Amino acid sequence: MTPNAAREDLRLALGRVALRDAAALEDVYRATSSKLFGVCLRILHDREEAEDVLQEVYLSVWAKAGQYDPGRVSPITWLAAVARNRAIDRVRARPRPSSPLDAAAEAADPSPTAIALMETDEDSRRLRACLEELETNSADAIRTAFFEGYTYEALAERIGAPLGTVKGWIRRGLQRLKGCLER
Amino acid sequence: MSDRPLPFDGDDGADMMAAEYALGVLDQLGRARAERRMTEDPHFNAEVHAWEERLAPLADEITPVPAPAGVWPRIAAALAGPASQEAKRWERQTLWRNLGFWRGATAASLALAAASLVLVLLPPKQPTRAPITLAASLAPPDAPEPYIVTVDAKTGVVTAPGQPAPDPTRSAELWLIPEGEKPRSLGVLDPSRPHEVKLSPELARRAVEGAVIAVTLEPLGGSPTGDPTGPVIAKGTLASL
Repeated sequence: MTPNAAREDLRLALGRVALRDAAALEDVYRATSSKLFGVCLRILHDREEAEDVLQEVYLSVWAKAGQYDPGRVSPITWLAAVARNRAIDRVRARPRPSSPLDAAAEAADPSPTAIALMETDEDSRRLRACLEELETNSADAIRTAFFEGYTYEALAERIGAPLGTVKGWIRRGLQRLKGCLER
Repeated sequence: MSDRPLPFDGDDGADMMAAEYALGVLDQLGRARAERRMTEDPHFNAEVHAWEERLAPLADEITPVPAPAGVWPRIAAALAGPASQEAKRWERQTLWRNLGFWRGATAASLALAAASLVLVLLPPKQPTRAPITLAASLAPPDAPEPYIVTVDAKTGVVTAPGQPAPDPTRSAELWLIPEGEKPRSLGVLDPSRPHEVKLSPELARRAVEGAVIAVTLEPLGGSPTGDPTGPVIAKGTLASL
């Protein structure tokens, strides 16, 4: 199945979920649970918690599918954002701040692998090209923040640079990314 | 410690907060602030979604990991849980008008959504009283389904199909907006039954041709202020049949 066809199937399935079709939610789950579990694991670094959050993610999709505007974002973008948000909420609610050392065992692979599940290759290519235009510190900080779900403080600790410096790298990087992507 | 604003920071750095929220670097308090702002500020909400879209291809690089086998059964069990059989049946028989329809959905996306409708819509129960004289159609012309609110000029009764709000944490509230006047609430739409309200003589006088009927999204239970506080998700103008 081509990525386009897979994306359309997912879009239609989400539409049926909004109509309270539980079988459609299972379709969405079968198509996306590996990706979203991977996203949760990357942020939580804890299999049991990632399982809990994954469950919450699909219940959240069930409750909010009516808010998904099929004309606006691709379905996997929406789903991945739900997953990232719930995983990050869970991390933020932990009694102790997550230690950057938790990530040591699964350090971010510096060389990006290209597993284009459902994002268009074009979008991936453009983002990668724009990230390459950033200063290395900015690009690395943005990537680490995205994958690991760190706060600014935790990110600064992980990178080993002052908080203000890291904020500058991230903010400058994001501004430049926006400009580059809008070209 | 002060952060000098960047040269391109517009709008109080709100755009940057949207980006930071989407990226995930805000702490718990920052996230709560951003989430509240998303519900209050449609521009901010749109900017967050735009940033999620910009950053989304990064997720391509996350290795998929098969979810443990026990997860789906737990989800399915949670779905079957609290909702009563009757509420579920009613939900299956009702068209879900999601926010996407009202927010300028493209013809293509509406066609896709229409293609996804596998359920038969039951027509609303016909009222048994005297003939209706005024009606407003609140659905956009290319919507797959009409949404008609009627006003019986003789009895002053307004009837609207029941609808769940697109957002389960909010309520859909019905309003009458006479020409040149401020909106008057006609009550919160009940998801499980048609909405009927008898207008006071003063309101009934204003429910005339040309007056607007609208639905807004409000906090659960309806607007706390008596005026609309949320986005208009549907509107139409009363006309005689």
